[in-house]
Amino acid sequence: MAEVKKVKGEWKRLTVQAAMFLLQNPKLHNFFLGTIDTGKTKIVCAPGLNCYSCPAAIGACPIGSLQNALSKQKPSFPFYVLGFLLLFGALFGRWICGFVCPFGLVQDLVHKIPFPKKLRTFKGERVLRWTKYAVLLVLVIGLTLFDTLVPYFCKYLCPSGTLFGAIPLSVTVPQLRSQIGFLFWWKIGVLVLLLLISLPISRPFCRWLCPLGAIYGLFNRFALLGMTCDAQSCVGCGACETVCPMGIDPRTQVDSTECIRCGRCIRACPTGSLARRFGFAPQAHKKSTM
Amino acid sequence: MNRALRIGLFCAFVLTGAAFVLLGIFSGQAQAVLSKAIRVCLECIGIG
Ligand code: SF4
Ligand code: SF4
Repeated sequence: MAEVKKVKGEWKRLTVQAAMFLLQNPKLHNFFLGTIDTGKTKIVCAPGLNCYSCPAAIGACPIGSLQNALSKQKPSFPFYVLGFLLLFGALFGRWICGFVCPFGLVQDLVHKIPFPKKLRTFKGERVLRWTKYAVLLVLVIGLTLFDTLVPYFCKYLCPSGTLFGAIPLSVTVPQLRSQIGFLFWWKIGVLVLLLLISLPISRPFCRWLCPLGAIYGLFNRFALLGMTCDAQSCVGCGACETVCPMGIDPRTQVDSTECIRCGRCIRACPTGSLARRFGFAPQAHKKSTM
Repeated sequence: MNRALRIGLFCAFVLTGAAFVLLGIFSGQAQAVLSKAIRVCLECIGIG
């Protein structure tokens, strides 16, 4: 069981993540009013797993919108939502996971809480990563098409909806509180379990369950924003591998579907062999700080 | 992966994405996204 090492400068990424959270969820006063935003901006899909029932949200959750488009009596091909997913994926890939997604930020913050052992990965963990594709194909698409009108992922699994929608709204709206039943407690259970697992292992939901991360991961290889590893200057010390929160070896898996482009490995590399790639230059090496 | 293929795929994804968004707008899908997003989603919050 490999342990994850610390790396300097994480506060910079956390600052960007916090700013991105506020950009997507600026209507903070709605948390106290017990209402959600009804503005026209909600016609646009947010890049991350940002629940549209979060009182502060001003965008639409792409997975919720996809489920909604599919869970009709007569589902049509969801051009609009898929268009956003293609654009976000092609431009940024999983950089969105590392810097933009609110639920990614929450897991990162929980993982910062001291815990006796912080694990990078464990035996059999790689197999678990396939689960997110099953979630996408079965819960988000398959069951929703089969049993119309039920958005299975939102209803039974999504922890972002529970944290940013269910909890604040149930605290402030008595009518909603009076309707709480098994489903609510099931979703709270899923959220609590994922947050508890986030203490020893970074981003369990992103690694194993998130359908949006599964989609964006497929674009990592072609996205405008990526990473490169220069095999010539790499001395094989493995420092990059020991700091990766997703349990990847960036020397050999720089375009892995699992990489969230957090840049920890870039900062850990003593020879500057890892770098961010903007555009399609084959190898543009310059030591980056973020 | 070679550079030309990367650029080609990137352009294909961006153009398809943009075309899909436009198609969605003209077919009323954008409006459907908005009307779902401005109502409290009961399933999302574990009540529906
Ligand atoms: S994997 Fe999902 S929850 Fe995690 S950061 Fe990416 S979009 Fe957000
Ligand atoms: S490979 Fe590097 S950028 Fe990717 S998740 Fe690991 S540490 Fe972050």
